[in-house]
Amino acid sequence: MVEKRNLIVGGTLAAAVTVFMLVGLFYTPYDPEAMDLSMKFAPASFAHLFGCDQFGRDVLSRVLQGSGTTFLVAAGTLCIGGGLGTLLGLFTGYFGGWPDEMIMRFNDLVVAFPSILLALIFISLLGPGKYNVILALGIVFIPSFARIVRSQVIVHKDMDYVKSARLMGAGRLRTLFVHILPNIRRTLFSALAIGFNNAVLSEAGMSYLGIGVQPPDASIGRMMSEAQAYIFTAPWSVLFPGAVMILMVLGFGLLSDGWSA
Amino acid sequence: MLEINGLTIEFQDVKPPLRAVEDFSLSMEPGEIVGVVGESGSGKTMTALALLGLLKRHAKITAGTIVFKGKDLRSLSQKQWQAMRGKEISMIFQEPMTSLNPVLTIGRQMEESLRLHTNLDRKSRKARALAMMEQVGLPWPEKLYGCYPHQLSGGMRQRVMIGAALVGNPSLMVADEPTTALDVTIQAQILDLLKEMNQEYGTAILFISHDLRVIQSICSRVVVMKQGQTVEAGAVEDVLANPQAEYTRKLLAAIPHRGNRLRKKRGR
Repeated sequence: MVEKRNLIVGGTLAAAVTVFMLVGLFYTPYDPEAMDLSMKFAPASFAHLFGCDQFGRDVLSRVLQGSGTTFLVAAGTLCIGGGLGTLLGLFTGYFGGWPDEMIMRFNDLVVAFPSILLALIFISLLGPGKYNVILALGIVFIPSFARIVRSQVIVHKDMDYVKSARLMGAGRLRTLFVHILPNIRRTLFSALAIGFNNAVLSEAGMSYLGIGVQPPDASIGRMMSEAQAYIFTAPWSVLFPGAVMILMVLGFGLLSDGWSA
Repeated sequence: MLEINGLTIEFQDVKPPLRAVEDFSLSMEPGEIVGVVGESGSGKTMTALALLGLLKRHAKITAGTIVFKGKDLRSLSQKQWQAMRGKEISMIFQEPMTSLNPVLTIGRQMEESLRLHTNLDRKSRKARALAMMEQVGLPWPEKLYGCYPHQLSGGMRQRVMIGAALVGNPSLMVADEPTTALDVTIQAQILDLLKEMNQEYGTAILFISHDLRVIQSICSRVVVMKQGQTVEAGAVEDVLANPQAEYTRKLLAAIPHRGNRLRKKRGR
């Protein structure tokens, strides 16, 4: 019952945040980059629901647009990290042998570095910006997916149903993708949901450090890092982006909990 | 049809290599049911897996020939094996609870070998699968077609396995202890089903079991194995009525009969 509640609450939150983000793609009440110094640090009002920041920009508009950026970065990271990681995990887990050993030891090497540090190295090589953040985080996320998928494949590959698939004449690739992959989808989905959260947090962290999304682009992490200096004069400029991120992470976290149970 | 000669299988990951099967010979005619009997670890399953080219990496065939329909199975490539499995030779296992893929529907799994080996379209595949489900005695095939394995009982799942193994109309089916995990009444039903399928389609069955009674009820010939070696081979009636090897006599004595357990306990 608890799992079901997690699934419902998490699904609702995740859906709400997704809708919020989708709205931001098409509509913002003000231009998120338009400055209006007369409105500098204006508190929340009917005209500006979330108030205004240090340049008089509408916080709601920026959060709407920024959540879109954050979403894009997280989704892109998952595509690269989750996609390649899953493929690597499938092949190493199923075929084993020395390529498996080599790739997994290399994985250990990558995991041994703090991920933010590793992403920082990539950024210093590639230069900052939205797409480079996606690439950097994507690469950093590969090992965790590869490990999770590999361990699941190893569990499943000696099961009888895999043997029967082979006995029916299924080739190795078909066995791997048609018979084993659907069986580990539960684990994979929850890994993806957790990965999404980590990507959101990593993006925020990197933007906060100034190596992520570059101004004037809005991203949730970027907004929080800019607004922290004014946390006492204009708390709304940091509270609202923070709240949206918490809801996003909480939603997908609960969703993953509900899935894996 | 099938001619196995002097088959020897060794585990090569230990030193010295461990012989799992030694000098195993067997010939089968089309439509025949032959039994292989022996205790656990006597090499029955290894022989079966060798027949399908699915030995684990560290187990190797070191001597002997396997000729199936004039083809030397030992020289097949991976591709040729795939064309052979499911179409010419298929196999069912002991554990019906785990042999089916938990996330694919029954219908989908019944059709797997048709998908792999024929060009039939979706409709005719489904028709074939439904007809086969009817044949193996599954009730309401239309309804079961969309069900998942966990919704079925063990006996039903074994019927699905048999159907899926036979839907491609192979000439040989290896049945590795197909009734061991089932209770006695279901066992009898499955044995009857195998016999029926054998007569209907002329599929030869290599029946592996540790249970001489089961072998007796279904096979025409039997090979008795012990620790990888062939102890005795011949027609079932001869072997059972007049066992030559000490081991066969012991296996026979191990079959519980009405009343003989008490006698043994008293030491008579």
